Amino acid sequence: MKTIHTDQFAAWSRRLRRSDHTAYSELFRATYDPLYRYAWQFTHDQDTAYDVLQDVFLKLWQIRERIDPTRSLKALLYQMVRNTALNQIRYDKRHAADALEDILHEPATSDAHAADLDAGDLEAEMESWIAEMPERRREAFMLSRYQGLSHAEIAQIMDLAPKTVNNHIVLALQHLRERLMAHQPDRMVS
Amino acid sequence: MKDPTLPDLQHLDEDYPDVSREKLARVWQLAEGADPFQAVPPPHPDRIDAIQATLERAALADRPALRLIRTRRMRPWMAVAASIVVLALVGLGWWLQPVSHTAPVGETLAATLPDGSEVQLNSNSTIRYPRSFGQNVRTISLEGEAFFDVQRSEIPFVIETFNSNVKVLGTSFNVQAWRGRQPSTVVTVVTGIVEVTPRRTPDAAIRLTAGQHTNVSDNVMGPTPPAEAHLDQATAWRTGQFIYYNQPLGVMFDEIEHRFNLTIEVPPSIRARRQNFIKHEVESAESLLSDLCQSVKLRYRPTANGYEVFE
Repeated sequence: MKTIHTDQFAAWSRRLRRSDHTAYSELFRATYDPLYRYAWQFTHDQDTAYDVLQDVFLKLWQIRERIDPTRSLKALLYQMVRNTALNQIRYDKRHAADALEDILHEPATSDAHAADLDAGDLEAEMESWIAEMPERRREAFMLSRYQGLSHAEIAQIMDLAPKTVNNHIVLALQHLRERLMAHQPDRMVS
Repeated sequence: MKDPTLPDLQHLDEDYPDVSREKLARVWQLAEGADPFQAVPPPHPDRIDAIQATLERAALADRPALRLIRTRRMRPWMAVAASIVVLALVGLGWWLQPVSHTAPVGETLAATLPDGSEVQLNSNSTIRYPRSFGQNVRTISLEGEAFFDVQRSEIPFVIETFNSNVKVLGTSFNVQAWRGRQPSTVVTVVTGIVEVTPRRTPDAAIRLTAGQHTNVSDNVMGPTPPAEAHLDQATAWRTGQFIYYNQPLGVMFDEIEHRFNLTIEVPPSIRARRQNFIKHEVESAESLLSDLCQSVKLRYRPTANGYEVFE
């Protein structure tokens, strides 16, 4: 999704406003993978992530005539995925008595994954350091670093002030730098 | 793929005076491979295709043309125009919808076509024709068996069965086109001339005159040559009779199945035996089967969905 140009999203916005079915299909094909992965960060469950993806796109078609082509469609999609996923897990927590399982899920993403890899592996260390961050900071950093979203877009998605996003990114990078310094000081000498 | 450049970090100097942009850029670069999104189990292509199909269906079901009627910006003349268009579309849809007649199981049905031709349908048989039937073309499709008494006209009357076209100008004849154990179209002409064309081998078309019949089966190339027909045998169903001259028993059991919509299990050795059998009044499937089995010295017993015939 990082490779898709902003102009392309603006073109899809305009075509969606005209109820262009082809644009709708193209947009889904081009964006489902990162959006599904983003949804999974909240749901930790594939089936729920698929449901979120489908709900978001169904909703997008319903509101297509009100899409503002001057605003970021990419950010709108992430924002819708985020809200839908959070609603979904809130609903699940209310309805399933398995809240405990959700809590158990949380560290499983980072720790289990990190444990799979060689302890000396920088990537594995990085992943565990990313996982250590406070939830919102980690999310802002992941959207910035790995999804190529601008601070303004992240602010819209997470409903934060742009300055807060900026602070999150700086603090996230500082956190990683401290860990790197403690662990592999030679990597930071350059 | 991964952005090598640090985003435009702001307020660094005032809020974080001891942090250097270059060092953060180095961290940014080193963090490249540690993408937590890649740790997610990848989406399954089948699920994605299923979601896309759902989305496309939903989008198609919600077209702006239909929602136009509900928007507030519409002016009165647009409402009138839209109503006319909708009515025209409904009318067109109705016009394009073919007319169909089906005889219920166990009964025959008589229908008069728009050109005045008459059709009698055997049990569980269906005809379909366009509403424009008779204006420029007289084409009708048949599933099952029917007897036609066709009005004379310059416009050819064509019956399409699953494997043949039966073309006439004005005459009366029977078309039997069951797609059962031995799918075939059997055409028997009572009066006039009929042309039968197998759709797979159109060059093999043949002409039948009064009293002749032919059989188009997918196993045999082309129709059988015109042969003398027992007209009462071919049209016995029209009057509820059961008439067979030197026919395989399988043909008779198949006819009982069609008329009463049940299944009769018969070993192939019995099906192949040829017999005469005539019953002018058929009260029920059971009475017919009982008489038939008695006359050919066979026994039968009921099954869950019909009967079983044995020695």
